[in-house]
Amino acid sequence: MSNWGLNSAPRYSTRPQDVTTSEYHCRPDASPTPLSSKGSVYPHLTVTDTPTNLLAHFLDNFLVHNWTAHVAKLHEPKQPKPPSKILMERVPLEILHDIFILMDRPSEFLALLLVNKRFRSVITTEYTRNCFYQRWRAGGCKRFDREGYLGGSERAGLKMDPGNEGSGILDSGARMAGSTVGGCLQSSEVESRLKRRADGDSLADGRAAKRLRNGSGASSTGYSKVGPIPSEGEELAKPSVRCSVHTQNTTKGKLCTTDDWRNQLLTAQVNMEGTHKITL
Amino acid sequence: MATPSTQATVKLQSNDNVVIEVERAIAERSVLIKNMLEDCGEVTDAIPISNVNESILRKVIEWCEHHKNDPVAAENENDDSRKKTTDIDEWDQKFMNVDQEMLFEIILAANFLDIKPLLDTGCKTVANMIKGKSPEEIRKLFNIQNDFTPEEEEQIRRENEWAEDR
Repeated sequence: MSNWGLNSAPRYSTRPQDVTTSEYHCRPDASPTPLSSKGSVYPHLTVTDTPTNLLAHFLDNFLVHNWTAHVAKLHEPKQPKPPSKILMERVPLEILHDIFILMDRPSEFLALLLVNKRFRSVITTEYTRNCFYQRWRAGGCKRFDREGYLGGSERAGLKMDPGNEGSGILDSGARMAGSTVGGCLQSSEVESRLKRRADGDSLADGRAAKRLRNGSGASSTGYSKVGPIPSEGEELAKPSVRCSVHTQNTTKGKLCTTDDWRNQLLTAQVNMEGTHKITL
Repeated sequence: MATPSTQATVKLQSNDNVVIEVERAIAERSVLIKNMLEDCGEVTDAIPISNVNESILRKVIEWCEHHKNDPVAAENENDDSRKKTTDIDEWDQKFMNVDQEMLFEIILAANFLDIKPLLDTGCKTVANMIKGKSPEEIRKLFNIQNDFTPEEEEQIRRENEWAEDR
């Protein structure tokens, strides 16, 4: 009489506790007499079942399942071969610098800090930050134009003072950077902006005006984190947190603390709007 | 015997010893080769390009051929005008539509041969690949290992959270 294998050792596991009794209920033909594992090609298995069950188990667990997995694998979309790990390692820091300064936004630029230490060593270099800053600022001014921060219909009743705008930007540029980063707007660019303005570019929305009327950084750009937008000539308060992320000298120039640079960026952004505040 | 100014072609030898003959004007898109030719006068032997293999050298030559009539940028206008935009012209986009290995090899070759416009195009291509991606996505894209400890990562994240929405 069969005891349904309830008292026998688990059939295919090396750990008896892995097998539940319910498994045995499904196999009424389980042999009550454990087979010796001696001489087996799988001596690590405790074989206690009939050859029929062994075959069934083999078909179930090895052939069918593996075949299914194999077929599934075949139908998986082919992934492109991942690039070699040394690829980026071979790129000189100067080239990384050239790539990084092409980012459009500070968030994209600073996200690179978190990629790895090599990237961080480039991003934290003053030279790289200044180059990014110059480019971003010039691009930022253009973006402001496109988004309707400059010129346009909403301003129709407002005083038009192109000279104020131009000088304001140049002044702020010179003031904010103190040195190299100042005056990134070329006179030709200022001229073209003034011309566009004189031509009466349309203002898409009143966001800029509203933002400027609100004054204290209620905008989505989050000025509130560093306090209200300062008026012309007023400096931003120095943040109390000092940057502790320092690395060795890299490409050119020296290291730059995050808070110095943050101030620079924020001041630039403030000045971009502050300039228009005067104009409007 | 040809003078440097009239020499029509030059031979370039890749690091896998393949010699490619190109028009001098095309080869002179490389500042390195241009200076070498100016300094050495007539060069009859193949110029060894030790850092560049044949396939990359052919690719670089292809770019130089296409851009042989482009005005050479003046020294002083390098930074501003070159780097203001990440727009890449259509032909260059197709040219740079290669696997990453090739792309970085082209960049390295352009750097070695001192072909600034090609280097810029390569950098812009990589920059466009990076833009808008998270650090994790960038690591995955370029198979870069994260060598920060979780604490370091957290610290950097904290220090730069002010820029998240900018």
